[in-house]
Amino acid sequence: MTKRWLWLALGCIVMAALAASLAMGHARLRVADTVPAPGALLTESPKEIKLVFSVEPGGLIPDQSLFWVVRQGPDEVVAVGKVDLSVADRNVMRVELKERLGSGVYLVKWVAISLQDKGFAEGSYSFAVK
Amino acid sequence: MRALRVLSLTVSVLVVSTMVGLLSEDLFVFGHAKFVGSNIENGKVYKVSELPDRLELLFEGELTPRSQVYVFTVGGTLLVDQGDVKIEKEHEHGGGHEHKSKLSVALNKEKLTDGLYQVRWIAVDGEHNAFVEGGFVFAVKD
Repeated sequence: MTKRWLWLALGCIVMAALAASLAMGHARLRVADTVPAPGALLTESPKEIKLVFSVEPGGLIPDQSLFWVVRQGPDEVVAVGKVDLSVADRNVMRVELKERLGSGVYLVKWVAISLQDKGFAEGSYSFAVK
Repeated sequence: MRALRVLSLTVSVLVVSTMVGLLSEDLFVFGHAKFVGSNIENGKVYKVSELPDRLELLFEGELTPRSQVYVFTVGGTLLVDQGDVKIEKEHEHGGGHEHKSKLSVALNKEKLTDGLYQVRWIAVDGEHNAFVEGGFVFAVKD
């Protein structure tokens, strides 16, 4: 009886791990760093939003790799970030904010496509401005 | 024994919640713009020859170039579209004042082997810059 429960628990853990791996997307393509950091509570508007990716040589496909900065509540897109072509590794997406962000919570939704194997990954994180 | 049962039950609930979350993510859409339909149907199994050259999504509202659509494998997460996203205004037939927009991308049919594929779209409307995202899944079986 005890063994049966143990096997059931083990099976569930394996399934959870599988589900988590599906949710994360392409295995070798992930966010390594962000500015602002996920969950940051800022006292003033950031001047730029930057995402640094861990990606294979060749970097990200510029036209298809993007991020959207969405003010929560009205769900309004306030900026769109693109691959920074001045970075040789093509692993950075950035947007300079021309207008300061008002008080509120912001969602950064990103999609990244790797040049080498067209790997697809997506994700999101939030930060807030007081 | 009791602790094991509680652990199993908790893990099971977490797994089911995760799976439901993953599956239902594409059933819900939030925001302002409205997805009307597509020339590839959610949940349908296609032969490659039955698929259109371009995936076309129809929306109510005028979309900005900030909108995007992607088609990728569910398991391997590899892109199977050509990346040539187009946004076109659709002509009204009823004489109404509502705008409709078509968001489309060409499929890379050489990469469409048997399996499950996910469509992910992000629509930003021209009126309020409103962000709406959604998607659906289809399968290929030749």
